[in-house]
Amino acid sequence: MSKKSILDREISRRKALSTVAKVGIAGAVGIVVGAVGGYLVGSAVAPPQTTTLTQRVTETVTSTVGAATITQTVERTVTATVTATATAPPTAWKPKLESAEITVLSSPDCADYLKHAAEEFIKIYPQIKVDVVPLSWEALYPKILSDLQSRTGVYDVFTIDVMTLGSVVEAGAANFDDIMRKWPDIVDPSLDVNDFEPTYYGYGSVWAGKKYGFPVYPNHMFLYYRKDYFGDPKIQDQFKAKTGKPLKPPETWEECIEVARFFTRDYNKDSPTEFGIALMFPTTHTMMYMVLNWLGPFRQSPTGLEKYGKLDLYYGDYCTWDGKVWFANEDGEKAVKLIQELLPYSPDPFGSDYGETVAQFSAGMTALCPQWSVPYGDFVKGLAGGDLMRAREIIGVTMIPGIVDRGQLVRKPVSGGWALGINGAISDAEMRAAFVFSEFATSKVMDLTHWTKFVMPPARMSNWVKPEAREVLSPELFETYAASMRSLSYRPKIPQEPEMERIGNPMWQDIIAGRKPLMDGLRELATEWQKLVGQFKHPER
Amino acid sequence: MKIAPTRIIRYIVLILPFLMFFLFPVYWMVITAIKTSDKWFTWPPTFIPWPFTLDSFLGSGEVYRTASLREVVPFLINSIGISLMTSVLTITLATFTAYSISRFKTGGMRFLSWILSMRMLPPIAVGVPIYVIFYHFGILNTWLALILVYTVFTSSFGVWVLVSFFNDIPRELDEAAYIDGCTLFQAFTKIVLPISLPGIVAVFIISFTLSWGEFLLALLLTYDKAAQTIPVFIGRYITGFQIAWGPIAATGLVAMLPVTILTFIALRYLISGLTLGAVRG
Amino acid sequence: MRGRLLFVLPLIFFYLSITIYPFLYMIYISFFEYNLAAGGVLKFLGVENYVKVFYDPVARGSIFFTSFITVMGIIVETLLGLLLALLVIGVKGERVMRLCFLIPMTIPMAVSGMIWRMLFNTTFGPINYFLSLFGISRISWTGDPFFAPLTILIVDIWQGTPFVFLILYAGLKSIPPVYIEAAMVDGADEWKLTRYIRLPMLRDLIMVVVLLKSIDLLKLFDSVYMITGGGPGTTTYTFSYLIYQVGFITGINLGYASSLSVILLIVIMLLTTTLIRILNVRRLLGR
Repeated sequence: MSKKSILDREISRRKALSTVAKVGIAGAVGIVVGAVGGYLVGSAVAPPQTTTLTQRVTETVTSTVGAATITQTVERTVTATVTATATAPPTAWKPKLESAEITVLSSPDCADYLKHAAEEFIKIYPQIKVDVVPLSWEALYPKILSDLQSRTGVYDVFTIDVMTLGSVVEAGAANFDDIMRKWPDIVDPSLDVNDFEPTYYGYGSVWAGKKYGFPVYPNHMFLYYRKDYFGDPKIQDQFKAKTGKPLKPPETWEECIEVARFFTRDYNKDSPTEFGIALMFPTTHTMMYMVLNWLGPFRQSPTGLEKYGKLDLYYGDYCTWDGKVWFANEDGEKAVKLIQELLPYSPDPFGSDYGETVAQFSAGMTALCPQWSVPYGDFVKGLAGGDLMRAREIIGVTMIPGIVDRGQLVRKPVSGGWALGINGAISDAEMRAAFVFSEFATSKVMDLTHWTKFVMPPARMSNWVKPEAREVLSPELFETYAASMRSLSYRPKIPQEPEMERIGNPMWQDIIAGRKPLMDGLRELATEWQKLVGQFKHPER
Repeated sequence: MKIAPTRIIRYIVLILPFLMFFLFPVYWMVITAIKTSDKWFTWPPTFIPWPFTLDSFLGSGEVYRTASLREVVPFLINSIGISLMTSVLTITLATFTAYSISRFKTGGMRFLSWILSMRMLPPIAVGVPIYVIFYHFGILNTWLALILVYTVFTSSFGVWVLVSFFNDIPRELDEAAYIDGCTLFQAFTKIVLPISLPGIVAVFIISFTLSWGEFLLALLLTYDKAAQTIPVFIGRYITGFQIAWGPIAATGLVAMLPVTILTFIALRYLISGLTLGAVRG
Repeated sequence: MRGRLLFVLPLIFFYLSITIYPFLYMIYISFFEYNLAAGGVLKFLGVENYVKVFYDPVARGSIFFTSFITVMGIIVETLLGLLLALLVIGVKGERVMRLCFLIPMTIPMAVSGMIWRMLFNTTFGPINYFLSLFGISRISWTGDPFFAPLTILIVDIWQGTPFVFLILYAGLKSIPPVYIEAAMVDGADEWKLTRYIRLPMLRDLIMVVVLLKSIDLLKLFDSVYMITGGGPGTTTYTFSYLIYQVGFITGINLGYASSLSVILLIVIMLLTTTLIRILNVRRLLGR
């Protein structure tokens, strides 16, 4: 090939390439400009919304006069006005903080609220920059563990999922008692630690008698149901005809199976919904908590307490009082069988996770849905077009069902929730700022805000008795919440918990899906878990 | 060559299903990005996005605050920055090395094979030790960490492509330069490099594309928006929790367009490079 | 001349510093139990981490699944890519079709994983909708141990065939027209043309493609992370995903993760050597 033709070829190639390259670069620049422009446009703040709710409420008031007690029924009208932006607490107390930048690692369900709290916090302390980083549970947990272990100090504040308390403490979470002793000036006089709901606080924030966090919100599961269908006389008659029993929200898992079958079109042509219940048993950490809704009642029934001892909050409901994994027996078998009988009435139990079941119930595909509190917002959007009042007629809330033992109804919804913890390996300035932020985000005023605006239940007892707390969203949700708070099941919070999940989540699915013979599967899982639980040294014994 | 009409019909009947197979997912992503949020999950699925909205792009409306597209800007900056710098570093290392190999067979077969094998490394296999080592050096969650690791893969590719490319440039050019009194370095930079610009651009684009789309190492070695790239941004919303499909699809579009355009530009050279010159574009 | 050495020195130095030390470190760790959660204590284990691979059912399952994906992926993608390349040549609108078939290859895997996850959604996804038009009831793609592996396979076919198509198409196009014309003069029809001219000329390319694809498939991670999370159970654990789970989720077992990584590296290196030998690297040097 002659030199000249190569050069010609190269030059013409180059020309063609340069034009195309120019187009490409223009396109890329256009995209970046568009993205930045969109960001700036979207940054315009939306005006705050105000909602006024009025409702007539019937209350029973008891008063003592002398030796007599009088009970009266009183009707009153309650008006609650909720503004989207909460007012910051009065700035009577304001410690001196050096300027610092703190990063908050947050689970997705807390992220919107914590972002809001950060915005309010910055108004009071402009010298502190607060950056909220949301991460999915699967990504968050390993990230925070490695950050703590490596003492890199990237994240200053992080949300602690209650059952991970042991592992984050061991990895290096900061001790709040030490912080408060070292710097009394940053302890908010209105902190009032005793105001936090005691069992939840003790479970999710206290380890071996020491404090490692402040509760953001306690959470547990409920059974949501289509109140409009349950209250429909035609449907009630159909149910009565088919089963001979009245239609009501199920209290036991056996009842739930009946109800779910009735609402599944494959088994009942007249069902208003395609499926009865939206279940989720994926091989993610969802599995670890879902199973407890069935195992918990067996563990904490009167018979269970006799057999397995009192409940220990470190070991949780999967273990006996002295740390033996108990479910490889006929109780465990019964519990799993109750789950298995419910499976045919669910759209996609093994392929659905949190998001999928919420979408299923919001789209009206099922009549029942066991879920946490935060999805209530999604249900209101999906089923009632965002209308809170109308939602109360469509969406009912009741306790997660259980079993009957010795004539007693035992229901144990699984508990959860988050606390705010602090990284032990950060600088003094960052730690002070992080602590004040944690106090702020869990303060009485903000605690109420995250309920009224973000459907994250209050962690403080003082907020539980406020009328707005009951009225704003759904009285039924509120009351069910209060009623079940005393009767929950718990996951283990030992440091071995993440490894228990990694091994256990897939194995549970194999057991429930029948891919392993039931007893063999339970025994295998119990053995593996026992190895891990056995490594734990109980700090209070 | 005459093609019978029946053949055309037959081809189209066979080709069309595959065309749909390859294109439908892209179509779905585009319409999800412009659907209103109530239409993300419907039965039957909504195939025509009407009404459409730009909420997913602007983060307005009912879209979850933490999942809106504007959140992507820092990640976009990271992706662009890291990919650009990786590509620049790659070109620098690869051009010199490839030239030396092409002209002088430096290191022989062993050396070239070693370089080529770098491309084949499974990222996860280097993930464990690199994570520990980078942590000890304190460069986790920095652009530098990703640039260093990505350049290993991309420069292997680059040498691969460029050796073949340089082989095509006749030695007479070099020799003419020497006769004119140039040193090796001058011959390289003044004569050969300018002519091989197309190949260099191709290597640049390949490196850019590889860095842009890399997921696993970015997931392992970075923590937050200081250094995380777009694929990780998308990945963190794949969770059982609430999946805001609109904004994710919008982000996907933004993530996809630059590299799609760039790849089509470099197509010819991709082919040549990918097959070690067994095929010329 | 010293110049040529100087030219390659930067790259050599760069590679050595980034790769050699980590490799040695990883091989070292693989003989220990390394628990980051318990403060990074090292406990010598000998070859236990390697033996563990044989009696760990999850590891065995992932080897099986990875092999399945690799073999099926190569077969389907090569055949499909070849078929499409053959079909598309000479057709009207060839240029447009070419571009369309290539688009999936340009999309980052994280994005395509996200899209397909939407498509495979059991209760609202378009795929189940299409199937329902044929009377097939909803398939739980991510929840059923039979279908979940298929999702990974389908996604990789979608993402990987364009590459095969690209290479083979280019190969077909570069067959000198004289051969085709000569054969036609001799009275060959399309089928004979394909069988006796086109395919033999593509043979080398097909081998290159097969080996490159197999190396890519062995490294598969992104789509598993995005779509199935390794589930249901552990049925869609690829080897890379297994290493990720063992090493990075809890930080408890980095020793085991290292031994798994070493094994994966060895397998891939073997394949790479084969590839290089087949491609006859001398050819590159010899020109």
